[in-house]
Amino acid sequence: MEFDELYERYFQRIYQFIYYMVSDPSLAEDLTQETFLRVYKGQFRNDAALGTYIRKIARNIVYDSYRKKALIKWLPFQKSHEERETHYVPHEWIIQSEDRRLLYEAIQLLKPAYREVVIYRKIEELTLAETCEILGWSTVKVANTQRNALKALEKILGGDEFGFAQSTKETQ
Amino acid sequence: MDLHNRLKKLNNLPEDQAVKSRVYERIQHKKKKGLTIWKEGVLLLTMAVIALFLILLPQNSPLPQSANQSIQTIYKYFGGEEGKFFARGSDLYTSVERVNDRKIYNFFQDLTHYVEEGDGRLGNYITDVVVVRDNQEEHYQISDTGMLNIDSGQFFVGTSDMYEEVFQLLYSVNTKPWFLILPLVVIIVNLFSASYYKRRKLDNYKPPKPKWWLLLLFLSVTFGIFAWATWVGPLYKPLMLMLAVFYGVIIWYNLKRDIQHYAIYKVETIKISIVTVALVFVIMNY
Repeated sequence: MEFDELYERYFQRIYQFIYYMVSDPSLAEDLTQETFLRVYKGQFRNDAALGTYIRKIARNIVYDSYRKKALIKWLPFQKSHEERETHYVPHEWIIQSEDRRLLYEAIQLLKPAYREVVIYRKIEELTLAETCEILGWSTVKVANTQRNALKALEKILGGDEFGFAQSTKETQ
Repeated sequence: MDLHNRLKKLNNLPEDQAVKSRVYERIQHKKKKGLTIWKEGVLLLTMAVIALFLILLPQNSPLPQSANQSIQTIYKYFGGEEGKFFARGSDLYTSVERVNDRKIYNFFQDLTHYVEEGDGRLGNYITDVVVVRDNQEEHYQISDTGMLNIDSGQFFVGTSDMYEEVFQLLYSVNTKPWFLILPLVVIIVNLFSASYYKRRKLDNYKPPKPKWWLLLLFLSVTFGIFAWATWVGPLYKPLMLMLAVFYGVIIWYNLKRDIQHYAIYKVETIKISIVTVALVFVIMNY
């Protein structure tokens, strides 16, 4: 597939994933650019689906940015531009609806591993196999993380829409 | 509305055409400007080699020169052979040591006080010596039975205790057990990585085995190095360091292309870096 075609097909999905993971439009833009540059420079060997391959790269880049952010916090004598924190800037489309805004903000409060599982499985509705391949996790681990993430999300939203509390009582 | 449906709706984040075209343009710009992977590799390698050469430049340490300053430096190579001469006029060669003992400088300053020309043969215990005098190299082989000037072919027999003392000083090996560090480092990093893969359950993603041509290249270079050291003479350290760094880069580059898991890539990169640094350290101290 030509790069332009690939860019056209995957830009929005990758940008959306990165945006939900970092919650900063300008950082999301930079990381999306970095993802496609790596795709361009790298060699895709058909070992995985192309979408999975690009998503894996995007995920690695997001985690690299988390690590850099964590490292910069520890570095002494920072210059002012290096002290830049990522600021929570919700997308205009998100704040247009109160429900979307609440849900989005709740997702941002999840830890990164939970957040990405929610994005892949519940927002993008990828299959369990696709998610396992992107994350490099076993099916059991993905399933458990998904369950815990939804529980945590439920707790943040202050409800019990999945009936976890009830099922826990029943098992007891 | 249940949470599943609410989450599904977040998948419709509208596409921002401005962002899309801005990112695309920046990618196109970088594609034109960016160096290709092999160029980056060559650039890094060149920088590493230049840095190593700078580190290895002879330092201006004061030498134990004799009174009239004519002898500049003396180098020795322990364990020479009759008919072959291994010492070199620089300690940038493996196993060539710079001599710092004043007695040896005094001895070579005026040999006529301690030896006289005669007939004879070199004994079984030989040390090769290079005396740098007035920027000219003089080559000697000193043994328990006498000393040979390689350049003129003159044979000298010791006539004083000084000869015996100088021979004992020169025929002493400065043991450097640093090379033992290398197998130790290899074993330790492999044990650590194996336990890490086991703990993280990454055994199924084990790094690919080296390619046959890489193995062949490595074996040929190793064979070439040993052959050179045996039949030709000491190895030039900067060249060896360049080969060591090159070896690290080529192994890393191949693994980078084949590894399927990011965690394994990081572990293998750290492993290769540690082994290469150990190899560089051993060469520099050999």
